[in-house]
Amino acid sequence: MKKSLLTFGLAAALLFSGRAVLADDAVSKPHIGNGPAVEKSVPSSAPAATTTRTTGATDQDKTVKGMNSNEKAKIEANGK
Amino acid sequence: MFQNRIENVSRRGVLRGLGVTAGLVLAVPVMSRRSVAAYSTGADKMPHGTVNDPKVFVSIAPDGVITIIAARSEMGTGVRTSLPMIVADEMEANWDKVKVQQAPGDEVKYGNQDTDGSRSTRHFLIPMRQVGASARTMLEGAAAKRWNVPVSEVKAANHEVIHVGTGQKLGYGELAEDAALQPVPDVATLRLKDPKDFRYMGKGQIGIVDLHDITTGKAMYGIDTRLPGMKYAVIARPPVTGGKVVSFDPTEALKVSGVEQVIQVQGWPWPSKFQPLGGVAVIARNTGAAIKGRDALKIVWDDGPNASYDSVAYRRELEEASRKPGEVVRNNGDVDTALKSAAKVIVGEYYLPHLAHASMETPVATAHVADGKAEVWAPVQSPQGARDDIAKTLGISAENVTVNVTLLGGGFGRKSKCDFVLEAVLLSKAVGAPVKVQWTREDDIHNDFVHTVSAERIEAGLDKSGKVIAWRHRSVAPTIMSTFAAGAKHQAPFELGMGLVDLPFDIPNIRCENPEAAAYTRIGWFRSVSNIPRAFAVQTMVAEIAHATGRDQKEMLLEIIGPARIVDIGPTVKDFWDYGEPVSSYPIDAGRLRRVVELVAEKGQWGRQVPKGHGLGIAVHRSFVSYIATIVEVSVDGKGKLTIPRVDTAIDCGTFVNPERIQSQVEGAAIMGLSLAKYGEVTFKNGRVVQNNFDGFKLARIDEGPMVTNVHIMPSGPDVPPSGAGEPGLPPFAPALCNAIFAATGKRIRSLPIGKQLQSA
Repeated sequence: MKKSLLTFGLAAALLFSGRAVLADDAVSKPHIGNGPAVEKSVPSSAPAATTTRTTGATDQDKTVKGMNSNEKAKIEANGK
Repeated sequence: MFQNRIENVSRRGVLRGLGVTAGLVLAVPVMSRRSVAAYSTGADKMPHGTVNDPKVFVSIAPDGVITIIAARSEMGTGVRTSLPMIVADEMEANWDKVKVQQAPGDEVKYGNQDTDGSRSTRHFLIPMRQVGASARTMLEGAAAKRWNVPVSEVKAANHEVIHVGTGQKLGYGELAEDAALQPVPDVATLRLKDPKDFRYMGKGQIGIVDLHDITTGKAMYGIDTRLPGMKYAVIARPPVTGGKVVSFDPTEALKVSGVEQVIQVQGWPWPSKFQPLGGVAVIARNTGAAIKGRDALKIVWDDGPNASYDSVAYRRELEEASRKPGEVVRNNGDVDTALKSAAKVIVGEYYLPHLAHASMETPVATAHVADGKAEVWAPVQSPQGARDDIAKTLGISAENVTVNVTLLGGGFGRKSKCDFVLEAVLLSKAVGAPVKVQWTREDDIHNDFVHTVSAERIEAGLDKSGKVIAWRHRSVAPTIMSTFAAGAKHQAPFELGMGLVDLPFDIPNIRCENPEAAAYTRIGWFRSVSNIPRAFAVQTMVAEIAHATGRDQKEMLLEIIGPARIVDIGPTVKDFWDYGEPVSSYPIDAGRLRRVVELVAEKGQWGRQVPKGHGLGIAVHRSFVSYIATIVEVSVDGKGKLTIPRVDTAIDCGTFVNPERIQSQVEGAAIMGLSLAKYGEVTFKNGRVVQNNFDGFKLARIDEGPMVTNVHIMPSGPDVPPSGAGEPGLPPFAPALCNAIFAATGKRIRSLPIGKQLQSA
């Protein structure tokens, strides 16, 4: 009985110490998975989009421009 | 070790099959034949139309096991059960001897594979019946030849062919090789089964083929793909749509154990269809290392022209725009005069925010690019679209691209856009090894093609008797077209046709307007698309009118729908889009709309007494050429906490194949509708999405779901064309819920999400 209690106690201690380590680890890295820790933005070279200024770029790569226009035509014909 | 256990039909698989499988799989040229049906659909106007060649879809092994190809993507609708089930029924096959294999992206061979728009059954019911009937005819022909008797003396049943005169029988496996030598029958000569003889169609007795694997955790989704030597990648993408990398420092990322490379991903200026946003990729030996490596990156961004996008400010702009005249997209009668002469004018302003798709499986793709060829394993709704885009992006022929379709852990339209696939392809090419690109939940919420944001304003003019005589609906929302065309500011016909210009009400003066709205982020289609805001606005407005005039909601609804008739929306609607279907087959039928209201009212016991703090709300909507009405019973406690004791929905989707799946889709729509109504909102500040994960973009938990959801499917004759079932359940849910909340509390919800609005109720 005493032996099993001792075993249980040791197991519990290991379990809780293990949990403590995991918890500490998580606390020390609260931003895991949230993306780069250091991100900066510089003033944009592009003018801000407004309701009157065309949003989006018109000077596309030729291939992408073709893909855009093909998709636009497809959706106009078939819907989504 | 390669662990992709989804049974895809790769080219190599088919070639291998030729050596071991006798029967209907033969090296035959692809035959694309137009279907002949009692009604017409828009199927053949879709890219690559339909294919009804049995040699493309059916193979029979000597042991009698029949393999049927499912060419559409499975994302929970059960489509890869339903379409093969149609074939099996027509060919008199025993379902327990049927295997289903997933087709790769190849529309020339299989016909259109875009699994969206709630189109699969309505476009492929007849072609799949023809496939099954052709296969049955070929088996009967083979048996007749074997017995040297007229084919009129033999009959297929229960996976064998019987000689009626002698009772002789031959199993399908025994006939497979000879059947493959039979000519494919002319579709015009085919004898389709009498619907009364259907064994599976319309019965709801067949479980989905993936059910066991899904419920035991064995189902293989895109996220489960493993290839030998595969690398794992995550990408730091521009936080603002239209942004780009100025510089980055990979030093600390490369110190993370398991990280192998840091590579800049090419992006194109927005809008760029489904091209990657660009950014910085971390390549590692496992996903965890890649994520940690990305966390250690230092990046300088140029946020581009959308850096000041603020959704709170933009809401005010949209609402202002809705108060001013806009482009007229439907005009019947004289709304201005009617509103001026009205005894009473009721104005409703409604707002619905951006939404994230948030499918449970985030975007993920695995690609192997080598020797001028690309092979991909991905959960895509449009495998041919992905194939074409991969080919163009890599500058190779589509013939050199294989897209293997895995199970999709949810789609909702997000996985029609193959940006995540193109990322994997570009990185595989750069790294020279197979690469899996894994999106985290944060990536998914931050860089989605979000559902549009909209302001809806309706003015209803009533005469002295309370009858609605004028209706002006202004709908302001950035268009999906902005994802393909810079500066697009008006909704396209397909968006206008979703609950705006197709208004089925019996009102003499109707005007619909579409003021301008610019897009400052990527807008994409989302389950039910523009039907979500339109149904919310229209059905809330009807309830507001009912309340203002002291009428019952349901009676008001039936009055405003008017008598059973085919609705004529008039000549002012340009390019009316009826979900891509011919109006002759799919007219706007006010009678069917009325009948789902009446059915749900009867089955849902509309008008029943409910306890204090409870309320009933009703809404009806036509979308994807189906008719659907919902009654929600809600309970709101003193603290504003809502629960939903019961939901009843009646759907008329014409001829149906798998009622168990229709029920499932409607039940799922109730849960999704509840999530979106209660919590759904993506907001932007400084061009960046504010929400990160499910703590910010919440979904309803299991204890919040409707306690009972009853689904009532309207029976219909075989001549009623099938219509959509995957999406229509969603639009009426939120207005029915909010109308119920009003009945329970007196609080009118005009802006979603409900959020904390009830806490002051």
